[in-house]
Amino acid sequence: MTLTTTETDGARIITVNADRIDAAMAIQFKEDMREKTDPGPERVILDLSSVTFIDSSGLGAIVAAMKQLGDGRRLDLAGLTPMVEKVFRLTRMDTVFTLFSSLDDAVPGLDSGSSGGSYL
Amino acid sequence: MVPQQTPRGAERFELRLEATGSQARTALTDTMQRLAQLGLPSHRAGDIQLVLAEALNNVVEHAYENAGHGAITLLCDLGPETLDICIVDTGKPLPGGVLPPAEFPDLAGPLDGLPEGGFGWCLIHELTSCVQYRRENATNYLSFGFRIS
Repeated sequence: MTLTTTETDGARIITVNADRIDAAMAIQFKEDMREKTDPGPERVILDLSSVTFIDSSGLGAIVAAMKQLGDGRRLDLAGLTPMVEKVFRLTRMDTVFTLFSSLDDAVPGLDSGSSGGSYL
Repeated sequence: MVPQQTPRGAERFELRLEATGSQARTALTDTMQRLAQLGLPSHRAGDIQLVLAEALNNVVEHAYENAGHGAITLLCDLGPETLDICIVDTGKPLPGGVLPPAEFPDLAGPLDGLPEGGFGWCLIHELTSCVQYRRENATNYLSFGFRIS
């Protein structure tokens, strides 16, 4: 799997370039997340818009990725597809993470194409 | 993995795989593709794929203890209203010889203590219309049913 990193004002966006986060890749995902977030800004946003399937091992790997960020940092989730959103809802993990329906919702102004913020 | 092909139009089929994470994933995608070809409504595919994934992962990780080998047979029977699936393996029995409870882990408390596992059986119970387990002749039979209409 590949993770792509984008820096914005105050947040690092990590995009998952895979259609599934499952048991076969959960450990690798957790390690890759550590590499992409340590060190890093306080807020990390995981872009899940390409992910159409997640199992409980993948869910556990996302929980682990949040825990390894450490105190004072947070992992927000954006772009959840219906089945991924359902797994978070059924396990009540939607009460632990802040979920955004899209990256634009997670980072207003992102679509301006500027990482320095936009001034209207 | 050796896919056991069944005649075109048949609504029962079986797959055999070795107990590894990658074969479980391949078996899962092959099964979902086969079910789609047999007419499984697409809106039911997500739940079924998730339950199958949890059940297969459990066999790989616990029945065969991640040994990297061990035979698994997956039997599917798609009817007009229901889908029945049975997973057969000769690994360790479920603890106590019974299905684990369907209680979702508690998420209260500090973030450090959040559970990273323990969701699999809850999802299986939540998303199926019935689940049964039996152990016979050193063999595990886990079967579950879905309403698909």
